[in-house]
Amino acid sequence: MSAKTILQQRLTTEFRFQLNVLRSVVDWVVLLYIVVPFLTLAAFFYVDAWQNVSLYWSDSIPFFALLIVLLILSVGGNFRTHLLEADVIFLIHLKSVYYKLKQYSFLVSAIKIGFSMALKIMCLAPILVHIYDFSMLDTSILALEASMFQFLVMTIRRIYRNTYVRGLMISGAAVSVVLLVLFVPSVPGLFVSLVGLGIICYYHAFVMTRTTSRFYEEVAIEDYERFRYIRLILAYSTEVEKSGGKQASHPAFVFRRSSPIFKTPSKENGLTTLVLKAFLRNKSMVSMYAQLMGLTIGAIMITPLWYKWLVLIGFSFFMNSWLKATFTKLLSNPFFHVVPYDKQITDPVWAQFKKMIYLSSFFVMAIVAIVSTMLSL
Amino acid sequence: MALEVDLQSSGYNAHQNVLHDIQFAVEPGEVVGLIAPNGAGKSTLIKSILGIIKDVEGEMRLKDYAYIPERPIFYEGLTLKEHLDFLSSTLDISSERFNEKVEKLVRDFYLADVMLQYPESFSKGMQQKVMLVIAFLKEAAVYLIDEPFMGLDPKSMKKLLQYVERKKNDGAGILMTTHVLDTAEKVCDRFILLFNGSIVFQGTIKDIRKASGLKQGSLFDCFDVLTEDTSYVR
Repeated sequence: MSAKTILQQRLTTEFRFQLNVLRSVVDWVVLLYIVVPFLTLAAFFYVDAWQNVSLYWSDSIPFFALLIVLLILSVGGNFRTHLLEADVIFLIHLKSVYYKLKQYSFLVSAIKIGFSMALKIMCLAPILVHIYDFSMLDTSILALEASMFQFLVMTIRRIYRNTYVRGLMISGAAVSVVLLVLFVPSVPGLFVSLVGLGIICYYHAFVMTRTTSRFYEEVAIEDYERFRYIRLILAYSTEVEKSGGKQASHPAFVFRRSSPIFKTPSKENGLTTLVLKAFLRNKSMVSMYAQLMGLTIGAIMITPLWYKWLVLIGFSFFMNSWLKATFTKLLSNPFFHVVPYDKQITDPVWAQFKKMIYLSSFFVMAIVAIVSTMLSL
Repeated sequence: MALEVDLQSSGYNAHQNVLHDIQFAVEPGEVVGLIAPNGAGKSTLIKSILGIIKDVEGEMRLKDYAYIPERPIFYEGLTLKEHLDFLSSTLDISSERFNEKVEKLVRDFYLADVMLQYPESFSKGMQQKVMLVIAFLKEAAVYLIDEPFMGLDPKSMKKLLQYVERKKNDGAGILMTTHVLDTAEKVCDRFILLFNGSIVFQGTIKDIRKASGLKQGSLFDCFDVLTEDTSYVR
């Protein structure tokens, strides 16, 4: 089978997969009452922006701000390879097909970036043309410079694994592109971005694609890209518990040296330590806890006097029941099949857990309610 | 008796039983090998003994046990040291004695340098070693060991066998499921051959050879003979 056929099959399969994912949230009701009106309104606003641009963007905002917006919009994405994990068995030994598949995939990625950049520039065009007096040539050069930035960022992300190095390199690339756009005249700017794009494309098409050494990283990127819509849907689903994400190899902040919480060893203290540490190191639980507190603080601050205390009582009930559910979940871990605990200590451990997590949050909320009441009197 | 099993049926739902009519016992100071092909019900049997699956009919008499699962299980967000600290809190043992045992076991299984790391980030073999350390830190009456050799390096495998021997000499009963039949033949005192959810034979290697008609046959060959008349498809 040729690389072209494989890519075609994989693009079709992925298109169907993503379509099914979108269908799971966008049924005909959503399409009719949200998507279609939204697209109609967007088209109407776009036409209006060409006629009354000052309603959408102030001419006192410097061009630099718009450039930053464009660069931020260009930071995401990955070069796709359309590799699958099973390719390690079925494809990787067919080097010419394997390399060709990666080359074609790069071409598809580059075309997609081109279209997406064209869309971004089209959206910004009314502002660029009417407020900053960009000509057609200037707008096209800006699109090329921004594309070069996006290619550069995606290349940096592909090459460097260390987060700090990546951040530093991407910041450097952003500063360079800002300087290029702001201080280099149009024609040399065009030349620099064309040469830059040419070098990056050559590197990807003839160097990066001709290697198998990054196979597993490339498969991981593919998985990440394939499930991006599913992640997006889950991120906005309030009923779905979010996973804590990829776990580090050791604790970064909480009890870094694995030190005990209690001085006296006992069955109760052992289990309390376990649930407390598991709770405090679970990003999703801690963020839910912080969100509950943050929302309640906001509600107490803005509501009238008597409502503040009703909010506090509501918080007390809700926090208590959420913590009880969380505690039950922490104790239902299959690890307890390996190291069972004495079920009789569940109640005293819940009391200890509640004392530490619930009472501290209630104490903070009560202080906020008292201070807020005094300020509103 | 360290473990006594009299099981009429067991499975993951009431309509589909995986195991039927299983009766056996493990004596103190005895290593029993549970030998079966994939999907025959080894892990289901162990889970039934532990009481962690619903549809079980029968009786199990199990003393204080230690369990080594087929797939390592850890508590998310706890370091190796914290797993061991929790284990210590569940046992009636002085912290000095426990720490001594921890020191020896983590040294034997080369885990001393990763005590402050999350076991979930370890390789499969290292995770399996953590499970062994947790089990051997207990002074249990019976050890239920499900596929202990998976992912272990030869040195750790040797250590595991030494610990099994030590626990056996201390009077513990050991029930071990494995596919590594040549090792099982050397280590186990007795075997239970499980096929299609039922026991097809149980006894010593001598008994198995006699029943299979292979006087000098290995456990591997005898198992093949004893199960060849039984349909593999359930």
